[in-house]
Amino acid sequence: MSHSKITRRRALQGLTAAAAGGFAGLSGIRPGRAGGSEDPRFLIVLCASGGASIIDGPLAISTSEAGVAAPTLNCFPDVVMGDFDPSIPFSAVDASLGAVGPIPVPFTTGQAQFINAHHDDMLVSTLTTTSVNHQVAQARAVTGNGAWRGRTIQEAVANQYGAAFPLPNVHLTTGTDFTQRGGDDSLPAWAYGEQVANPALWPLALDGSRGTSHPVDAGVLATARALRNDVLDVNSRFNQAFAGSDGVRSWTGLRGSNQAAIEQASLIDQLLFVPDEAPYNLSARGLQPSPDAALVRSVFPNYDWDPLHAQAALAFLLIKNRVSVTVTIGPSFDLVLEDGTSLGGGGLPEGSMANPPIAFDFSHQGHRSTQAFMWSRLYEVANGLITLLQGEEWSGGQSLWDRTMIHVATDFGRSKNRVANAGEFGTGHDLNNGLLTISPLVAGNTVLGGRDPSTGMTYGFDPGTGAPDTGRNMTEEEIFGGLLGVLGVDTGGETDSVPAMEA
Amino acid sequence: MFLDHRALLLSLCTASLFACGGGGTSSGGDSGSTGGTDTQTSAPTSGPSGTESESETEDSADETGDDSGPQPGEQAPSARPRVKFKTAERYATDLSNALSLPREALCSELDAFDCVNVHRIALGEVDAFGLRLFEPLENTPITAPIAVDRIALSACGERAAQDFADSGNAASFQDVAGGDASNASDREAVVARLYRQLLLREATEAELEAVSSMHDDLPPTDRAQTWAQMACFVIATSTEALFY
Repeated sequence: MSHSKITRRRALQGLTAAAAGGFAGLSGIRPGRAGGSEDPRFLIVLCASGGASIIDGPLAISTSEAGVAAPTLNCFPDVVMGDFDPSIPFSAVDASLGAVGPIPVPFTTGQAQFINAHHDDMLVSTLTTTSVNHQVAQARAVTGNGAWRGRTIQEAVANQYGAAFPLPNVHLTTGTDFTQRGGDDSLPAWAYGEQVANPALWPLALDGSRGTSHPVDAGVLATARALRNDVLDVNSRFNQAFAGSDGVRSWTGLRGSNQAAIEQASLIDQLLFVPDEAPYNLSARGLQPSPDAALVRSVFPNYDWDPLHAQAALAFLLIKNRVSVTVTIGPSFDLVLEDGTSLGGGGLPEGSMANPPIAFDFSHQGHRSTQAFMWSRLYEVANGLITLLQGEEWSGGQSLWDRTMIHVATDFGRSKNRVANAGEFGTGHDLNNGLLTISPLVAGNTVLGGRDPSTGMTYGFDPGTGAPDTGRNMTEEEIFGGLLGVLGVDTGGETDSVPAMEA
Repeated sequence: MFLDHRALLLSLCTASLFACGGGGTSSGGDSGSTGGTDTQTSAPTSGPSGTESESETEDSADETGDDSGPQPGEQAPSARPRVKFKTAERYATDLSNALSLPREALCSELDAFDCVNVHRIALGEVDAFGLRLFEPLENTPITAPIAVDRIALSACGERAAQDFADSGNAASFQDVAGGDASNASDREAVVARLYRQLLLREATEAELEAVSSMHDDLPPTDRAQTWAQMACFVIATSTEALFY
């Protein structure tokens, strides 16, 4: 039996090749293009799982607006409606409630504060969707019902702007179809979403040695990897037999130069936002928090027990450090209680619950309180991200926020009626709704379309002029194209832009 | 009795992939085995099988006059290469068994979090109750190979640390655990043992030489223990160790 001869020289040649490839990983292997990585727009998809009803958020209806329809329409007492300058087209619910549905946890909403702060960057576009099934509706929310060969808005943005970014498209939330891979298989592999399951500890997986219990020098690790990748694996009979399998090809494609590029970028030093104290104790393992860790923890202080705060903290760092051009975050469908919260009698302390079960869909049990609680939750996280991004300069006096869009994606709306004069009631799913998008890139302080205050139903608008049109409803395809137009994504004519949505 | 036969068959198969893989078609089945390559080693639908398959493959190539086939000593590509990734828990169990380390002692992130658990989603597991992930990720994350490297580096480092601290009871590195790995034959003995422990087969001569010679490329400080750790690492993170 003969063997292919493996020499130390060949191993070193492999090491050299790997090192060269590593440098190419971030700067060379993904060619940039006009309107590409050099001039990116950033997209944050904030997923409102379960059905964020637009008439419980920025298009809330007051009792006086509803008139004679008020008793059986989902509308709010005038006293809880935010008081705005007449030039602001939005509304807000500022109320103190004693429970979220049947969960006895008091809370206070402060939606008017958010709108007063950010109305110039807020756009509401009305929409009528095509499915009241959560999974189907979520997938359609990010693909525009398959408007562009099935690719998601995240994939489209990553493909347009992410060529030179290490991880262009990162999904930080799990368990929804907002992060489902789109149906267009023609995109480069790096444009599809990279799933992060644990935002606090995920950055550890950005270096093969640092912070482990038995770390080795980078050069030692590189030597071993070169031997493994370029000598042992390629010559093993296992590899000769099975290198053609999808799994092995994917695996070997990911390591090598891609792996080296991730490590050489020292992302582990930029993205760890947990403190250097128990249980993390980073310095004991030779690590340190990101230079921005204290800042993001001050904005998202519940990072340790609220997954949405942890997601938002990492989302900011991914954009700030030019790791990603799009991140997807959102509340989960799980009940989230602060660690140590007692479930004994007497109800839960205010602030101890971050998320009700099934998020916005808890409206089945208690619509008004759930929607109020969840809209406030979205506003709080969006406000934190905006504040952080406004504090980071892009260049030329422009901040990162100036080129970022937060799009609140949701499944569908909710039914518009209530039991006569009920303060709390349950609702079902409804195709009719509207979407909130927040960005300096959109036509700010604007509601495109409108809602009938006697029925709660929204109506559409002329895509070119933005003029309200009570005779039409906007489609998922139209809004998808409009968002891509705002973001400057070249769709090659596959979708139509909506000039009325653009700043 | 059945188990004895099966064990014998397994050892023959794993001692030589070629012997059981022959012409290289895979069953594609998932028996749930963690034993390296055995699920791909069913008899091929055509071509050679059994322990004489290597020579038969060569003969077959000669008969057809096809020079593009595998050369002597090379493995024919599988016509249906449907190997599976082991996923985090299966890999951890294999590593634990191979290195004689308790599963919970394999590695931890920041001395506080089980590293297999930290990286379990990236490595193909699901989390129905915590994250509502009912299916493994469709695409392997770019962090997955790095996560595997961290797990293996920690586990191999732990095995080496224990063996070098108590060479009389070493489980993997007894030939060099005294601190001297300058003898090539000692190193090759370690490499041979690691291949048996981690891949359940004998190393080839080329593999013995390649892994052994890595010693000369390492810095002099703690070279023996570092080489032991990294020799383990390169085998434990090979595609052969990660797929079945």
